[in-house]
Amino acid sequence: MRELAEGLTPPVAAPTWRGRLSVLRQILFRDWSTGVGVTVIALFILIAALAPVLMSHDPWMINHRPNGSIARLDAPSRAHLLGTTDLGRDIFSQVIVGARAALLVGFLAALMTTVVGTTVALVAGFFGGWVDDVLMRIVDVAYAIPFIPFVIVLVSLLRPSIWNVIIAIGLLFWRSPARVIRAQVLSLKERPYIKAARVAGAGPWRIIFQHIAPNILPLAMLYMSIEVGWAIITESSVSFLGLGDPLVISWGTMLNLAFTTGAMQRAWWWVLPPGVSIILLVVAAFLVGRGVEEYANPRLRGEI
Amino acid sequence: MPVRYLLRRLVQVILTLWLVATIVFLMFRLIPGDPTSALIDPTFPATLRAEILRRFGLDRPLHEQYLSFLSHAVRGDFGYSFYYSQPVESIIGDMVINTVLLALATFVLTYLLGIAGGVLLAWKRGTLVDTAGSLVPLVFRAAPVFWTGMLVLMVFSYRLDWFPHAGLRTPGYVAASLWDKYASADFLHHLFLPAVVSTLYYMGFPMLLVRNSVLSNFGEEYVEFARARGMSEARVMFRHVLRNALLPVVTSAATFLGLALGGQIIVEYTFSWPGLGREIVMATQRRDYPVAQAMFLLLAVGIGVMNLLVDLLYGYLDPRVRLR
Amino acid sequence: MLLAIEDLVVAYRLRTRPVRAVDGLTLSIEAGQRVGLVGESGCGKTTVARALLGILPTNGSIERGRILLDGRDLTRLSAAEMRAVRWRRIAMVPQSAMNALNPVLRVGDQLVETIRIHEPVGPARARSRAAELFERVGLEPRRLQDYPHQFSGGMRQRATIAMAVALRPQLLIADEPTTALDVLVQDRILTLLEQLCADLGLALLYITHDVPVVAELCDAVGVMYAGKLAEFGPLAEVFSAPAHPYTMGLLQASPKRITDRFELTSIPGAPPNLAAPPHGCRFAARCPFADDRCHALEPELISLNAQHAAACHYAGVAPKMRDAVASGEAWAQLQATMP
Repeated sequence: MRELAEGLTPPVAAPTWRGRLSVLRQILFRDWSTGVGVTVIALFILIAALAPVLMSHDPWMINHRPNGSIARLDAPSRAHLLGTTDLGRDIFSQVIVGARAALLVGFLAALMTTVVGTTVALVAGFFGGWVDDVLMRIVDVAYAIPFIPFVIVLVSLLRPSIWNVIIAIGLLFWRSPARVIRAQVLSLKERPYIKAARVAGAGPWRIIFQHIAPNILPLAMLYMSIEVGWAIITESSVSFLGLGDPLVISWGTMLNLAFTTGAMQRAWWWVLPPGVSIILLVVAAFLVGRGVEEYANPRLRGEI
Repeated sequence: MPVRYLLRRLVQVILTLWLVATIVFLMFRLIPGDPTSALIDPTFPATLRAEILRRFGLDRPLHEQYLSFLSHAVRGDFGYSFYYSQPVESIIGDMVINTVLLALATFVLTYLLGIAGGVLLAWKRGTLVDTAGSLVPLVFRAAPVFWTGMLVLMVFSYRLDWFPHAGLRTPGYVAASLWDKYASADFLHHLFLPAVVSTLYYMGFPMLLVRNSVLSNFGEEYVEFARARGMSEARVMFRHVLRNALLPVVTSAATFLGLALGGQIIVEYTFSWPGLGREIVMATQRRDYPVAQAMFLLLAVGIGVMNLLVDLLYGYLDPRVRLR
Repeated sequence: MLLAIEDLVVAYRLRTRPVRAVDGLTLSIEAGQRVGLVGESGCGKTTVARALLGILPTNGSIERGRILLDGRDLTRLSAAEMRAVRWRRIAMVPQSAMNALNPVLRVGDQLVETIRIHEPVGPARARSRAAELFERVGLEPRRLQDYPHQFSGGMRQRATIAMAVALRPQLLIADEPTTALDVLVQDRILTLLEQLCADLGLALLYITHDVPVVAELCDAVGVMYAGKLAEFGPLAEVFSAPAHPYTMGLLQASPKRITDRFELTSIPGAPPNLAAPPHGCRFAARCPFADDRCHALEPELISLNAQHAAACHYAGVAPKMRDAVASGEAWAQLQATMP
């Protein structure tokens, strides 16, 4: 970089598991924005776990006003902190329980995509040859398939359940990490210490695990955190379009009902909370991703 | 532009599309239950069902169906819509135009504002403008585009009544000509909100990309050499840096198109904009599988063609690729 | 006196702490004179070049000192004034021509641009001037419409040289212009530079870590170490009778027959960390003659005669040091004491 003063030697990062993990810990908590992201996610996990305790009402229950009528579209009040839906259900409780669906989809889909994508990348990148060709051809096809249409069509063909949404997301999302991580594997393969290991007779799986995997870990983690955000947005979009799991309360299904019943014209209390929750969680995921990106790219750390 | 490269890319695209069509075929026939119910509405009268069965060879073995499917698809024949009781291709026409217009408006706005924003952020790097300017698109990206749409509708349409909340033009409006149909004030009035909401959502993508690309070019030696030769900052930026910095933006346009497609579908649905996107949602809601299948294929073809064009454009812009 | 650098201090602000890449440099160049500036990588030579042209990166600044070009202090100029000076009076031949040229623009266009932003010349006239310049540096004019990646390394360097002399500057700074090239091409480029300087009456500041090149090309030479000037003087004198142990070591380490000895010895050890420079003489840790005074007190530039000076407490007894170095014992002894 041009900004390097002459006469300084840049630090050399240890290419081992332990070295990388400790640096990771430093990175995650030293930048304030990354710290915020981690905290927010932790908070949501806490809320989701303690949902039964935190909810003020049963989110499915139809509530009544003191005078006996159904509490339709009540504005926020002491009785209902965030008001009620058109069927009289308590929104505050729904938002709380919705955190569960969001986190479930987010993490599971992200995990699935990262694992599949990284594995494909490692195998294709390291073994090369026809294996690489075939796998990359599959990735090309995955890229040619438009994402949202695929998810909505698949969900509509199968039963609309939350597991199908996760699977639908996972079936295509792996394509991005696969391509990018493979590129890094290819460049890592040419490094001297890898070549030395091969000459020394180390088996391919050993090399992959001990030498290559630790170095692509930051990139994989970067994608995982980005995908958590994307998965949550995708699930909420699919649910908004009416194709979500009707048995699960998610922020997307809440917004779907607010939209289709026309209640959104007045009931801002039904529209704002689920949306704001989505924003908070997704921004948190992106911030964590940015922190991981700084780690994956030493230049951004300002040390080099 | 080497012809061989062109041909190779074309073959690639066709091959990939064929694979996608195969996947579509398998997808729609692997649904649980009666496979033919994906293509024939059980509520159709028996004679019509028999006719369709015969015409599309649905009573024949799978591989024959596959070939028939392909040959029909290539000719644009996608079967009968359950919902409309018409051949699918007769419904598509107008919708394509509507979708393309909204997509075009979104694309132009997004890239204009995004590139300008990105250059501004790079120029003001490290200042408050940069930090705030980088955060705002992030928040908009995190907000689902339908939610932003809902908020915008709530404020600007329902509460303030400045803009209409649905459709292409006011119901009952009779267009005087083709130009009037699509360039009238009424049409633009309807186009405004969906286009703006889409743009807000996607602006961050080119903006941050341009910012990073410009900044990384700032560190390049040719920039230092240009400054050394006495060029002003403005000249260095616009004549030298941007020409290099915008290259990745062009390639990213391909990824953008893929992303933007999903958002377009949702925006069309939210604003009841009668385009292909909205139609695919309605079709899946109604379980109108022939239409859904057709839309899906069309979208895949659209993306494939767009990617090819972007590739060729990049090849033209970067002399290192062109003059191999 | 064309150029006079007085006590120049240039610092970079890094995340951790400021670093003085150039710490008190004083140097002068006459019109038409060819001065070499040698030193290891990281000693601050490129920073000097950047400071002269006023193109320090955003985290770099001139803390102290003056740069007088024809009596005018360049450090006091506004950005606009500096832009008028840049390239018209001082131009540079960069280290890596591949990276210095914009890859997406034609070479001819970049040359024409260089001319037209400084002089009110029409495009056609500028184009013919560009063609003339190409011929002068040994390139075919029809190559003007090619892109940088279509040129070979040597050709690219010629193109940047053409750009550098396009406006007939008074001073040409060459920053390691031949390091990226193979030996044969190096030779031709050097000949070209020499010829151009003679033809156009340019002064030359040749920055390099390659000592033999300087010996062929320059009239005077300055030796830099760790941001400071170790020695300065007429070429013949400095190379035949160096007065600073570092210069002596450099000359020993050079493969060419400058001295009568042919032994190749490299100087053991490494330059100090500029973020925390040592007290006393910066070379003391690697110097075979260093004593307590050297480690405690930083030496001033001591004049040996009107033109030759060296920053060493023992410059006065240089001949004795030279003998010790020539026999090879000095470095062997030093090597033995180092870890």
